[in-house]
Amino acid sequence: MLQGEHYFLHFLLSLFNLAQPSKVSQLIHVFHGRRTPSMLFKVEQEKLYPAFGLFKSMTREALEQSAEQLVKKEWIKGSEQNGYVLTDAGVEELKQYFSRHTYPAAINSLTYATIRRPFFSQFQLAAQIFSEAIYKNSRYSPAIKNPVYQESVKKWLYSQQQSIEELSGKWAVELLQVIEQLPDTTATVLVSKLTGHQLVGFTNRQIADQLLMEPIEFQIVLEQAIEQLIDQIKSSEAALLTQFLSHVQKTVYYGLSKSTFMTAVLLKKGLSIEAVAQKRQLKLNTIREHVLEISLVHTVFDFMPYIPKDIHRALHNSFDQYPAYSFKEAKQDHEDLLFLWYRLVEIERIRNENNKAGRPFISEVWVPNI
Amino acid sequence: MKTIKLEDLLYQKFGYPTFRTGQKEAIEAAVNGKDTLVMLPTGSGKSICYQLPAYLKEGLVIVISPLLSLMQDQVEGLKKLGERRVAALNSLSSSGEKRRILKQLPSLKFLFVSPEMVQYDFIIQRLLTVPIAFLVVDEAHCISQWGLDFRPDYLKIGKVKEQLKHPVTMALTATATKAVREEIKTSLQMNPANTEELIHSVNRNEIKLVVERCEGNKDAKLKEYVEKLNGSGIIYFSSKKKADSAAVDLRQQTGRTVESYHSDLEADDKIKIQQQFLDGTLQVICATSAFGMGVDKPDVRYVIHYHVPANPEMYLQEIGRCSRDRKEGVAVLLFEQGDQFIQKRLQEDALPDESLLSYLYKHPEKVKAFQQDPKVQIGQFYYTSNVPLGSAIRQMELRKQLKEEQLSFMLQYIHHTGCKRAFLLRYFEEKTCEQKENCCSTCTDHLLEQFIKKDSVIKQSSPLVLNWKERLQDLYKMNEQSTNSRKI
Repeated sequence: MLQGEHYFLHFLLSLFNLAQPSKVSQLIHVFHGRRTPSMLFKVEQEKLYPAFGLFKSMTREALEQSAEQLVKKEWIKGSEQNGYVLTDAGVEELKQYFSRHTYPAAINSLTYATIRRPFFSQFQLAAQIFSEAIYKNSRYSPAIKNPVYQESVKKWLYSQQQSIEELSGKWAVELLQVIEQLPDTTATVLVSKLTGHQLVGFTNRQIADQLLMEPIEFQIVLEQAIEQLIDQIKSSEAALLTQFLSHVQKTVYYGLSKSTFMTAVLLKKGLSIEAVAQKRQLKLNTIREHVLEISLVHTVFDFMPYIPKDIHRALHNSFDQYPAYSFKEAKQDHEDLLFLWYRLVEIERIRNENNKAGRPFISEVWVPNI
Repeated sequence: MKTIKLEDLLYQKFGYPTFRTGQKEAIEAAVNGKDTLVMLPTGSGKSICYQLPAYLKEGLVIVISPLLSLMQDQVEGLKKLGERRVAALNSLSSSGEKRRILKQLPSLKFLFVSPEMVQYDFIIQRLLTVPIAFLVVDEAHCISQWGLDFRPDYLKIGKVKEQLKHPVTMALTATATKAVREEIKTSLQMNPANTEELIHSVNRNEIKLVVERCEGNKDAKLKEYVEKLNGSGIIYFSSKKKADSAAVDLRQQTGRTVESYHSDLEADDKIKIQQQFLDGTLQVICATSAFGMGVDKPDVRYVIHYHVPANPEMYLQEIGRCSRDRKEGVAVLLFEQGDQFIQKRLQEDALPDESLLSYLYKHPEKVKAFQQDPKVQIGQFYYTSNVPLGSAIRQMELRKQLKEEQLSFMLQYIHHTGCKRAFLLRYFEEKTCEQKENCCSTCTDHLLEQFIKKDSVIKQSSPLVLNWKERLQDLYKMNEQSTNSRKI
């Protein structure tokens, strides 16, 4: 078996479930991070968050080959045409495997999916700048060469009212206190990547080797570690780190596409969907799709202003009585029903189920709500 | 111009007491307003040739550079020397950054720019508003050797020069045959009456040349070399997969710190590997040709080629990363019968064939404007340059033939029973090899012995220690006590 394949196969297996068939042609879009509302909904519905945008250059052929291996092992069954579902043997294999390996269960929403990488790159650069500043060295080679990130960090530094010496001290203290709150492996993963004064960070392979992980396992563990760091900063009192995170979030449109972000700004100002469409010279349906994207990415977004209260109540009642209540049936019941309203209620019900079950844990990740 | 002034400036700006061979003539020619084609061997400080005269002429120095990483290294290098008036424009620059740079153009001294970017009309128009001291074309052999295969944009620099109203131009390269040099001059529209060619030998006496013929034992030979040779080394492979697997084997079998390096690595890991290699944490790099340009480590003691290089130019570029401190080093080429077929296959994949060219000419609208595939890029270049299809096909045939000849030369080099150095230099029309001792594996028996200290104990790599708290304390000069007492 190829290096990294063992973990990858099990990770891929965890993306299938017992009830909802999945096709390779869908999962490849998840790995590529395709941002259509239907893809984002699939991710939400089946809790595929850790996989979203994870392997952007993976080919469909490579994924098909991996899926074939899962079929051969009888861990999934079905066909590409009708989709694959997990078998009981697959469930058992997942339980066994992930009792010994890390599953990125801490990635439990789409909120930071597109923020993690830009954040961590800029975080590494800022960490290096402050380390060198503490040692009063201004001649060093930056660990992050991407000029967009360099420009962004520079801009953030210029916006600060304090001297670099003051900022460096604050950064060090806050970072230590935030990292201390994280699990030990997470802290190790994050700090080992950092470059600073006379200290070069370690590569993914080097850290994976030390932690006895396959490279792909480490890649996924690193994604989770970044998510945990962001979560920890958000819930901490670390003012400088929080400000840094906000700055990065702003540069990547808070995890939304640029166009959706522009819509979100107008919605936040109180404009209706119709008014936004008018102002932005876009189709109504495009703005409705934006509303869906915002709802799927930001779990705290209040979508109630965009769905009539009576429809909201009626749809919930119908779902309570017939859990498999389809859009077609709903449309027969409510002639003017918009797909947006139906989908928003679906999202709300998925999240309510999650809340009832508490924070998703590994077994729930691959055994969905049937 | 007084000599003393140039040397004072060299010391003042770059901290070097004297010029290296060829630098001063190149600087003087540029300052006197002549176009120059400068060929200096690898590691001889070519950048000084345009960086120093920049301080003697009013205006902006535009440096066209083929690789983003090379550009970044040069920008960083100048910044480290205290030069803040430097910027880079390339595909990685955000639109905001581009706007900012173009706005600040009058206050810049150096502008590094990619060949694609410099062709944009809005950039040309903006460049025309400031005085231009020099136009520099770095790694100018890309016009010929790589320009055709990978960077058709390099071939358009001549037109850019014309649009910029023919500023004083300096083309820099380390490895170019006479034919390539002619191609560079023609392409850059260098006027023969006002052009100075400063051609220095490509030879680096301090790098000893060794060819080792293997018979089914190449991996064992490689391991033997890595175990025996002292100091840092680079091993070049034509395949990423082989570079990875060799790195794993060498780590396990030799106790050296070894990493692989190729285009599949994440950007920040590539930088970490380069920096670990520079600071000595890593002893050996198993790399593809992606590693090297811009990595200026003075004490690389050996370069090994696991696969036969495609041509002598590339071979000299790659072994030129050895011995930049002028101390002796060794270049070993491991060859096994059949290796040439790997290169042949790679060559076949590098150029568009007749059917692809015909398709691109027939259906230009079906192909997207910006293609990743170099074969399609080349075809598009010919089409957009209005070269008739028949001529494009003939050009490709000629190029294929040239590539075959270059590979054939490398094979002859391997099998040559006379002086390897003299043979290699003949390719660059250099007729003599003055080195009598310690030259190559055919001239000197037991050439490698001086690089192997028999009584030396191999420095075993120590395992990485991943104690996050200690690491954080080192990064931010915190001790245990201050760590405990600090509060947010």
